[in-house]
Amino acid sequence: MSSVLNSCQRKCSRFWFRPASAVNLAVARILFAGTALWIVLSRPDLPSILTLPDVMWRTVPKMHRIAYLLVFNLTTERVLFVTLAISLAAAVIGWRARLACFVSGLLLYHFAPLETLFWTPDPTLRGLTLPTLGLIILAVSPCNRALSPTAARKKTPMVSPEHRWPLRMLQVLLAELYWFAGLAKLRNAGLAWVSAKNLQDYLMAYSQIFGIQGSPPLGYRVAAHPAVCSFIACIGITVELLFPFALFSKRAAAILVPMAFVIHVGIALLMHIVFLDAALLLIFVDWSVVYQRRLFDNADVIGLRREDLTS
Amino acid sequence: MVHLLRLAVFSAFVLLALATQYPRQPWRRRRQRVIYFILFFLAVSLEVGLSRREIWPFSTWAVVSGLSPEKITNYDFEVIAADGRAVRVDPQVWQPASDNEILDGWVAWHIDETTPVEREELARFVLGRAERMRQSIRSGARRGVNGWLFGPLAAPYMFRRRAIWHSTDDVPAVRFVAVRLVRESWDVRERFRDESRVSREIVYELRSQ
Repeated sequence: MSSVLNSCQRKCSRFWFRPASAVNLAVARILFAGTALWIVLSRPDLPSILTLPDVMWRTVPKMHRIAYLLVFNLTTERVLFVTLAISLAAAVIGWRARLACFVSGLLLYHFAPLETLFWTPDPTLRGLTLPTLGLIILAVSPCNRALSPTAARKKTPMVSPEHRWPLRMLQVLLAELYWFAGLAKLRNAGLAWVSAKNLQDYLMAYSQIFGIQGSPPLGYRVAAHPAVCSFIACIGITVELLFPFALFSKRAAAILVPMAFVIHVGIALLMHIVFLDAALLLIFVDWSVVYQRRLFDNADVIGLRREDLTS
Repeated sequence: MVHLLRLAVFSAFVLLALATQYPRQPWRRRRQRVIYFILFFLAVSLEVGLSRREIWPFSTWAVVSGLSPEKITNYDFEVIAADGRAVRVDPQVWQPASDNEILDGWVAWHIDETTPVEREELARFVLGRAERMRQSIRSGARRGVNGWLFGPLAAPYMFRRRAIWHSTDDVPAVRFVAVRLVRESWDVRERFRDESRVSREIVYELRSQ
């Protein structure tokens, strides 16, 4: 019994604390902050949602606003929103990266719900949910040890167990997203979710609500083929349910991550639902290999000895 | 009070995150605190995902998870110009809010509870926004506010309605004087076979003085 426990403990320890490269963590910082910055700069006047007619805000329980600390006046909110954009930009370039990630995470918690708060307090899938949690995790990790202006000056290890656990937490966040989505389908609709009729209805309904104009939309063309619909639904739910394997196997990640990306592109084209965080899937790529190869190729140019890199 | 749970859980998440770093100690001595942080994160995220009780930013991610509805009800605003031409309100009129959050969210959930005075308040807001965008398009200026930096590469909203007002031809030359809320309903498969199978009802209309 104790040997089983010991083996389990060793595996857990290896999963969370196996030494890892600082480059992967730095890339995760750029991806999470960059995605959030893209969304924030694409909603430049988000605080002005507070100026929607009173009739809309009267239906919002006071507790919803307090839960997200949306209690300031418009001018203060605008100042905070500019602060958010600046801190996200700082996190992307790696200037005071950890502080920038922390400030960004807190301000995203404050601002992300604003997009939906007048009718629902849950802004899931509007693009800022993963960055809100992810940037807080990155803020307490050594995410500034690579790909930042101060990285070269610091004499910190490029490979450390401290680089593994934050990256793992971010990967678990993404894996949970797919796994929970798959489970929810099975629990809410059962195997009927993968039936041709269900996906046909979804494709038709979303094309009708969001997309119809002139020639038949792509969703209609696919909906005309029940077998294709059933196949797409099966592939989609299979990828979602199997996605946690990407955490444990590089081979599984190499299959599941590109498939998840293709599914997001398909959903955007067929159902007009855009997953704004698709770029975050790139945290499953081992960037240290790519980065090291580039350094190796340019070693002479940037004045490094190839032996230093290989050692 | 249940809504304050979000704030409490997020605060605990942030405090445990900070506890992994402060007080500053060598990595080996901080490792135990990191483990507590990871366990909290796993416990909360799994509880939310498996119980399907949203405690944002921990999410259930249950979107498009039920069976597709066979009948759809859709709301949209139409604005009418002084020359009598009626056009559907372009989704970009709502920016920085998303048309989906306004129409499929607030309007669909709350419009039936509103008083005539509240409906008038909403209609005046829509009319004002639509008129500003009409003038903007007629003068050749940019449309919605979201594309100010990235243009067509700006982050879209999760649900993406097609833009309707692209050029001066798409909007009337004279100002908008009236707005009406339209409720459309249809059977998904019937409309698939025949695009005209949509029933249409005017929920209310407001004419400016």
